[in-house]
Amino acid sequence: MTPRHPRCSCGFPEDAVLVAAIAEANAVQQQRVMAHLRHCQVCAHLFAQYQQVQNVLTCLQATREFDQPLQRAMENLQRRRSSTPGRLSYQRVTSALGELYIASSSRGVSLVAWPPQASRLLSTRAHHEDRTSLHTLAVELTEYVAGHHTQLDWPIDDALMTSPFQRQVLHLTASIPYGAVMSYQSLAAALGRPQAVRAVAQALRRNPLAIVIPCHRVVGRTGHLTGYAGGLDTKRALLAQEGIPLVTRRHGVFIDHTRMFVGWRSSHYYCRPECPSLGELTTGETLLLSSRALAAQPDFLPCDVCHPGIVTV
Amino acid sequence: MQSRGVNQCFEQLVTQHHREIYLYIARLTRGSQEAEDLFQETFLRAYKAYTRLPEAANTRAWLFKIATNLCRNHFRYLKRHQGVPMHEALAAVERSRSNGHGAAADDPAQTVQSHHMEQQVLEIIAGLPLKQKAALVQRKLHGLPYDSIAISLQCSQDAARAHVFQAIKKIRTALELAPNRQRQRHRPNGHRPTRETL
Repeated sequence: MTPRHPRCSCGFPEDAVLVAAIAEANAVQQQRVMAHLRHCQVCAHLFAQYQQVQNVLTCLQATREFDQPLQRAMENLQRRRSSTPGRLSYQRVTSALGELYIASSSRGVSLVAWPPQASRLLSTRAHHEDRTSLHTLAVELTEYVAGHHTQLDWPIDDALMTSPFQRQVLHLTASIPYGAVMSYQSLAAALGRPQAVRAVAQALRRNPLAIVIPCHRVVGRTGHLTGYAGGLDTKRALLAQEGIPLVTRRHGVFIDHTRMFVGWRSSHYYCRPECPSLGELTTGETLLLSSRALAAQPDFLPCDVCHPGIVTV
Repeated sequence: MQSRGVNQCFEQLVTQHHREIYLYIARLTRGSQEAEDLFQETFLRAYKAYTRLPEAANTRAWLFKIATNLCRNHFRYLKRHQGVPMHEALAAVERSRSNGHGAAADDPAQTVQSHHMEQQVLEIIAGLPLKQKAALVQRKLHGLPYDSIAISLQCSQDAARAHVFQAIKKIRTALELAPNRQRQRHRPNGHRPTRETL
């Protein structure tokens, strides 16, 4: 085992020699070491080596080679800083789904969340309460929650999202249409990372833009509602309002698979819930759609096996 | 008003320290391309957290702390995603020796030799554990006081001093070993040393 305070073969502490050689010793220590060095060859050799290291380190202080990259880095930093939004203005909104916070920056809406998460996210930025400029947003939000609108076309500021991965997940989630649901697994598959199911779920859990980015439209593979930042009852209410059929089972609330059309995001086909081809296909990027009208959007074609476009009387 | 005041203070902080922070990151990451990203990220993070920083805080140490933590994250990322192990000091010397730097040591030109030695030392520093590397760079290349280093590395001043000393000792040992091995290779009887004899 190496001793805690190594000594030279002559018994003199090595650290004292080191401190003196790298010019960090006080006058007394320096004198003591110098006196010892006069009659100890081993320590003198050690001292010379440490002094050499010190000299090399001094040479390494030169910085000319860094000038150009530093200038470039600085320019990029200034550009990125000017594009970062400044203060957030926020307002409290009382809706049918309880008390919500809504905040926006100069670039767009950056936060819609329930109190505990909202205050945590707001604390990361300079913020102030503003009841006038956010009034229109607040009214639109309460109307959406009450079911008067099916869309919130707001400019979004993703500054409160924490990582590039989370941005990717949430931007994809924003593309799930009203009245449709997707599973965490399908979302991960659509991102091209089928293994990242839990990471996707965590990214959604920290969604700073609840309702606006519809993370409530993402459910478990079995259709289980799993969880929600605003509480499971809120998730159930939001989904029910969008016309998504729900069933209550022993283990919780589930999406009723048997009454939902299935859309394939990559191939752009859609099937009836009872289509025989569904069993053969693996869980890919599927979207569960609550109605035929929604399924028959311009970009979805009816499946050749179950002909979901034909309405039987 | 208040926001403008904060912005001005922060601007001043950037002007004052951007150079040394960039140098610090570039030295820790050996001037890799990530240095620029890490540098920008350091100041963006600092900007986000600046309003929460107490008045009396040592802002220089605080910036070094953010930079060190980001570098640590970066090294962790590299370790996980590229399978690059954290090199040991001696392994680094081994590499620098096999790169043929050893031949330059015999060169009579003083400048070439000292340049070679600088490269060797940089190689050794790159292989040190992060705390030792950070402490050494902050102390010896940036001339920071130990109390500042202690804040940025979240350790005591004595620990910071110990990190610097450990780093210097490792550099000395590595430098001492390297030329000796070189000499052995040039032995006239043609005996090639095995790993055991080294």
